[in-house]
Amino acid sequence: MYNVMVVEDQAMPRQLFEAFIAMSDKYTLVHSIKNADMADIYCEKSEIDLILMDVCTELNSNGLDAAQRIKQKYPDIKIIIVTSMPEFSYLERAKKIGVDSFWYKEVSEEPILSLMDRTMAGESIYPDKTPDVTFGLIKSSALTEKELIILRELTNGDTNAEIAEKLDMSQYTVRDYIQIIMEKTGFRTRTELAVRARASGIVIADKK
Amino acid sequence: MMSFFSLPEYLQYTVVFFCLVTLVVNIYSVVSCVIFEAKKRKLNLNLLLAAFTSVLFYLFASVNFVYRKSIKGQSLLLDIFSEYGWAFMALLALLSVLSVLSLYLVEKWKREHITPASIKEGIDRLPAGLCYHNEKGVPKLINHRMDGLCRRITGEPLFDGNELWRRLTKGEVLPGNRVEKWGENPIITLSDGSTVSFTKIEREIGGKKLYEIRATDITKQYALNLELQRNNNELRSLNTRLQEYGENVYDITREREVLTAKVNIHDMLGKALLVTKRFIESGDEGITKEELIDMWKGTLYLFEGGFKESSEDGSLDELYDAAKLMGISLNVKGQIPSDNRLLRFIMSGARESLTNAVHHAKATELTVTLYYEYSFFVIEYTDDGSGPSKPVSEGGGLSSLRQSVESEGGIMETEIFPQFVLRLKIPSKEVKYV
Repeated sequence: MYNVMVVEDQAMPRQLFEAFIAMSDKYTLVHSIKNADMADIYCEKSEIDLILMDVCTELNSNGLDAAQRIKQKYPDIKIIIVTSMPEFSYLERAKKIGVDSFWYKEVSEEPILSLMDRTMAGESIYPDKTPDVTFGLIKSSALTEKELIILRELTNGDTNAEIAEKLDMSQYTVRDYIQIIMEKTGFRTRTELAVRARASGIVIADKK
Repeated sequence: MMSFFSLPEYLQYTVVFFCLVTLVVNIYSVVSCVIFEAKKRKLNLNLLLAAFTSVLFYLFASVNFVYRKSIKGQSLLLDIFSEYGWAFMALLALLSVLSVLSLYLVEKWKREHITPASIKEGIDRLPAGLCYHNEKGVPKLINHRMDGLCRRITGEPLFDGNELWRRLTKGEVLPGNRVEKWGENPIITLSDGSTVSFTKIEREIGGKKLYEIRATDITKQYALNLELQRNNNELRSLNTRLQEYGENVYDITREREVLTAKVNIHDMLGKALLVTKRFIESGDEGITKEELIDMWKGTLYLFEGGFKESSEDGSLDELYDAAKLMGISLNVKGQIPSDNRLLRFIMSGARESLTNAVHHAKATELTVTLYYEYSFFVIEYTDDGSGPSKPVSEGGGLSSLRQSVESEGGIMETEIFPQFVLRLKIPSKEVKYV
């Protein structure tokens, strides 16, 4: 039997994960919490083998930050990131941290229990790419990494000058990139672009 | 040898007239040298030429006059001119050539040099106002524009540069004018709607300390600046709305997740019912009894707990649970804020304090004190354990907490005596005085 902790702020998805665990003979639910910031504390005194960790949890705590702390302190604990956000940087960051597997809540075809089994068997399972969502006239995959990075800053409500300073580039380059994204997507204003980008979830501004 | 008197009468007069013209040229050159402050050598040369020409003119005029009037007693002068008239004429020719040459040089010098008069004329034509004054405020050079501005702003002519600057920087202007900005770089909108910016610079000119007050018409720039400010404010408000919308997007995504969860629960229940029905009817639907039981375990789990559609944000329940798990009694003093941002800092600080309390201090109780101090919300953590004997070196947890606090404009402090205290001061929208 493996001890599992669920870190998910939404009650119903959390209950669903708990139900899946209850259905299996291989797993026991030891903790089910809403705030990723508390996750490593729970690992301190409990024997935990596997964590199902959402990225955006209660009080804007970040599951990836928590996963990083846990992997540093308890590298043997397996972690599966579960998210519905198609933000492209999450996949990369999860790999970099050493997260064992990654599961998209809405689009992953493999049942979560099967993914948990394979992860506990030592496999590292990652989707090939982020879910492709429609974004204006194009699919999100048509945007380059650089365009997505600038789009993320744009959704944060930053001006061109602020984006340029953050990303160490000129204001004119930022302006040109935004213009190119608007031409690709067909959105007419930067506000519309930012709002649609936010709503689609292809970029999630880092909230510190 | 040719005598002066052997010349026809009209030529004698011509020579005298020629001498007069040369003298006039000399005088003009001398006056030019004086007015335009030419070098002394140039002035002296022209004075010398003028002196020689004057003497020569006097001699020619006198001889001519004496000769015409047949005045007695002047026979010596007549004799000299009868004998050496050609020499005087040659001298006159030489002086004339030198005078013309000198005039040319003086004129050339004038073209190549700026005189004080030119400077005054030049600055009077400038669109900007200029005033140079000494330390006592005595004006040394003022242009028409600055004098006009002074009269319109103070109602008086510009007599004292210091007094003008004092009035400008204090915003003491005549009614009808509007002070847009006072202080070191005053900006004033005049009654005619034009906007003028004033600056004062200390300069050293010719070894003397002078102050330059400059007035620049910035009517267009100021109007554009105001428009830019309006646009920036609009943009800022748009960005704020965008950020607020970003907060809502999390809710939208969560709602979508809940909906997906509902669909999955519905599918789970439907599948369990369908498989069970077929299992009962046919006894075998490709599923074992144990698998069917497991399927119902999960389904019943959902019903046992009851369905919760949303979670209540903003409680410290998990903090209490975590502390209990760590064997620490948590004591929270003060009012728990409703702002999620502050709650997150409480949780983050508590995580570090709990870890420290268990691993280093061997504490059994952690007290979290919450209060407002001016524009800060203060979160203070103290435990009942043994405080550290030396200053705390901030490892990964504390240093990332510090980074997160400071990125919000807050302050993180630690104390080690008499017990360990971690204090987070987070800027708050609420301002409360204690």
